[in-house]
Amino acid sequence: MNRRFYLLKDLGILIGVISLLLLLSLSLYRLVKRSPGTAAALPLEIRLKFLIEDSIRGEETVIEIPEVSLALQTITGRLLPAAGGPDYEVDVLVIDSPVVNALAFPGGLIVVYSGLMKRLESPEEMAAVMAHELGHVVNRDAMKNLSRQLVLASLFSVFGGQEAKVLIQRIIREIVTISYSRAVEAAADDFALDLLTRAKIDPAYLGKAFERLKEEKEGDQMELFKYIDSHPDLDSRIQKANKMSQGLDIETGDFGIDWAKVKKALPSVFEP
Amino acid sequence: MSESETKLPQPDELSKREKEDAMGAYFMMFAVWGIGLPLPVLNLVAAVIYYFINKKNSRFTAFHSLQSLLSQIPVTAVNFFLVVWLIKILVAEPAFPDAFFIYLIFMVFANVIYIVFSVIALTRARKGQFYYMPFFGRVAFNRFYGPKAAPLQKPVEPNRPPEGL
Repeated sequence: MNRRFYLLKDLGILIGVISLLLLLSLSLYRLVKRSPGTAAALPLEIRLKFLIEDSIRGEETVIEIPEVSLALQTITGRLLPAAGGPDYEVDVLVIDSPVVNALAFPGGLIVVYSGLMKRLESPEEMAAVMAHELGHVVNRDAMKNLSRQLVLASLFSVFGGQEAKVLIQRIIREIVTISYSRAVEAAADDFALDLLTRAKIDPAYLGKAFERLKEEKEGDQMELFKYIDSHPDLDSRIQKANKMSQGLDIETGDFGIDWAKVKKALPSVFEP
Repeated sequence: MSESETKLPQPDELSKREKEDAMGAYFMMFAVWGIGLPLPVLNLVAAVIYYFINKKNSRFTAFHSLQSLLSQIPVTAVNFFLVVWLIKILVAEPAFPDAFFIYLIFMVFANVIYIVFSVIALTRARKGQFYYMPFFGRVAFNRFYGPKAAPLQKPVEPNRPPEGL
């Protein structure tokens, strides 16, 4: 036996060990993912949800008018069964504010600003916006965003010092002003369009909601349209919703909601 | 080449300095490996420097230094790729993909195996013994004890009197 044979034999063993390690890593990851331990991450999200909800209730005026709550419950009640049900209960908070925005937080908390509700013209448009936010909830985008930020913070904390502290504080603040990448927004749009179709709501309503907000944005002097600001490339998204609607023949079932009455029930302190 | 054909230094023939330098090749890597974790290429740079400093002093030390250097190349590549991937995800990706976590587990395994082999080699080197890691041990041995092993230092021209004397 010559030296080359032994060298190749060793190399073969090395490649075999590397392949075995990769297989072992894959199996271990699958095992961990399937185990109930993964579900243990849920209570953390839910605890976070309550923390954020408490913080919002402490700092903002939450609208608890039966007509408004009932309308949103009816809308989510139609969307959630079609969404296949997220892992946690979805709660919707309405904040009295002129800001035109809606946000999805960890644990299935959706926050809708009254400014947004006032701009929308039908419960179907509201459902389209809610479907988009549900996309963020089901995809756990807020939690993923948060974990990315925390990994970044922990990397910085390796270097230690005051700067790491400042960074962590900034990240905690960022939870409240969530902004997602174009890819994440596109995924939430796709989810919304699919969900609307399954819930027998014309996907064109998502385009309509964006269009209405876009039109009114031109007159916005107070930078209230945060929803549009955080959702770039609106034109192509409107087109996408309309294109999807054209290929389908959906007769939207009536929600049984008097939207004008709901809007009238909202406080008018901030009415533009 | 069989063992009988190769004259290998035995533990009692090696100086304390040689043994300590050979051990240092692995020991130093652990220190730099820890410090260089955010930038794993650092330990490879340190290994190259250590190898070039020690390869002229003793074949035994040179063998262990080269084995340590070679064994680090795959682990460093694995660690470096993970850091690059992590930065890419943090900067441009929406979330951590499943493949990243699988690779992370693989990286942990690879590092643990590297540490185990290095600790064994380190203790053997301290005792003045050879330890051959799979593949890398053979390459390093062949470089310094093989049939084509180069001399450690270039032969120095001997001093001679001027011609005619």
